[in-house]
Amino acid sequence: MPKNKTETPAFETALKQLETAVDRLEEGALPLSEALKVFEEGLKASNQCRSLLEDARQQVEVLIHDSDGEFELVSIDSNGEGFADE
Amino acid sequence: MEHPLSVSDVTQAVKQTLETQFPPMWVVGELTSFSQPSSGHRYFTLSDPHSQLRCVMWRSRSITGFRPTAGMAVLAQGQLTVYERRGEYQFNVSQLFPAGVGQQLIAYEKLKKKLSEEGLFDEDRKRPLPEYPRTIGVVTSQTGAAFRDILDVLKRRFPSVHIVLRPVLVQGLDAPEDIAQGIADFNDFGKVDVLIVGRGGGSAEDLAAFNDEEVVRAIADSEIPVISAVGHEIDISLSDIAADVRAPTPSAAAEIAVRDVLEVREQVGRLTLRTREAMQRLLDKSEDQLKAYEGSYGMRRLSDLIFQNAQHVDELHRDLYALMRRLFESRLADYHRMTGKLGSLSPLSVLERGFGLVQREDGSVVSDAGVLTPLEHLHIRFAKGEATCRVEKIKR
Repeated sequence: MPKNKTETPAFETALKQLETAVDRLEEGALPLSEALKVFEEGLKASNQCRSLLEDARQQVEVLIHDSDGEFELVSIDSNGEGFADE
Repeated sequence: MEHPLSVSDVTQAVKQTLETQFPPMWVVGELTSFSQPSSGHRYFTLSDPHSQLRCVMWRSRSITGFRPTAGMAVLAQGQLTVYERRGEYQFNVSQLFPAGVGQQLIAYEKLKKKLSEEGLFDEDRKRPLPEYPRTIGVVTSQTGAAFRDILDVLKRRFPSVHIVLRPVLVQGLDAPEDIAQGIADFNDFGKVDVLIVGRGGGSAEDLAAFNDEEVVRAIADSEIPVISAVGHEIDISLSDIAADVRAPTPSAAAEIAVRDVLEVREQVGRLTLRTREAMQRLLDKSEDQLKAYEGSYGMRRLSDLIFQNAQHVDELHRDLYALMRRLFESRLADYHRMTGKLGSLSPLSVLERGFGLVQREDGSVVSDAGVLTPLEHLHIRFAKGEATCRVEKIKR
C-alpha cells in the first residue's frame, strides 16, 4: 500500500535501479571497485523485483466511507466470500 | 417592371435559401400517413395539432429498433429541402426514433457537445497510466460479473497487485450520484494508482448512468487516471470518452491496468543476466590487462631495474642513487613511449581499476604465491598510496 499517491511504486523503483546498473556496467568504463558496487546494487534490485513478483496472494479490500467522513478498508475474500449482498 | 423570373428560378432561389438557412435539426411529432412503396423510400408526415411537415426518408437510411406506424410519437433528425418538381418543401430525414429513445439520444448528443466544448474530452487531458500500479481502485457493483472478471484477470496477470473496491449502484436513478461519489472518494482517499470504473453489458437503459453528466465530470475531474469499462465492445459511453483510457470490457480494463507478470519476470531475468555478463566482461578485461602487463618486456625490465636499484643502494652514494632513479624514470617513460599504450596497459591504469602491484622486499613482483615465505613483508602499490603487509597464510 503506497503511503500517498505520489509515491513511486516499489517495483518500478527496483526495476529502474536494475536497468541503471545494466547500463552502467555495459558501458564498460567503470573502475573495478565501482563496477563491483554497481553490480551488487543491480543484484539487490533484481532480487527485490523478483520477490515483489513472487507474491501471489491477491489482496482485495472494500473502501468504506463512514459517517464521520473517515475511510476504512475492509478485507474481503477474493474467492467469493464477502461477495453476497449485504 | 423588372424582368420576370422563371418558376425554376424562384424555386431554385427558395431551395438555396431554405437549405442554407436551416441547419440539420431534430423535429418531434406524431407520425401520420406512413408509406413505403416498392422503391424502398419512405414517405410520411409529422404532425401536431396545428401543422404538418412532409417527410421523406431514403432507402439508404435505416430505421432500427422499431416499426414506424401511424399515430406513433417520433423524433426525426434531418434537413429541410425543396422538392423542385412540386415546388414543395420537405424534411429529408436521416434518423428516426420513437420519441422516448429519441429524447435520450438528443440529451446524449447535447451533453456530449457541451462537455466537448468545455474541453472535457480533449486528448491533451489524457494522462498516462502507471506501468506498474501497486493498488488499483475499482468503482463498480460488488455483486456484478464485472468485478469478478476484473479480479480473475488481475489474479492471472499480476497477482500481487492490491485491489480496493468502492461498491456502487451501477443502474437506476441513484446510480450516477453513487458512481460519481465513488470516484471522488478514491480521490480523497488517495492511496490508489489507477481507477477502473464501469460495469458489464446491458441495455441502453442499464448503461445510462455512464452517460450521466455527474459521472462524466467525476471521471474527468479525477486526479487518479481512470480506465473506463462500460458494457460490451460496441457500447461507447460519455464516460468512455472522458476516461484516460477506454477499455471495451471490464476484463479488458484489467488487462490494460497491469502487465503480465510472466513477461515482467522475463524482463527482470534478462536484465539480471545482462548485469552478470557485463560484470564478467569487466573482470575478464581487467584480468587480460593484468596478464599483458605482467608478461610484457617492460614489466620484466621494470622489476629488473628495481632489483638492481635495490642492490646498488647498498653500495653507491646517494647521488648515484638519485641518478639511477632518474634513469629508472626515463626508462619507464621510454617504455610508455615504446608501447604507446599508456592508456590501456600502463600499470597505473590497471591500478585504477582496483588491482594492486605486489612486490617482495627485494622489489620483485609477485605473481606466484609459491615464492613467498610466511611472515615475509610485501609491499602493495595501489592507484593511490602503498601498504606494507605481512604474509599470514600461503595457498599454492
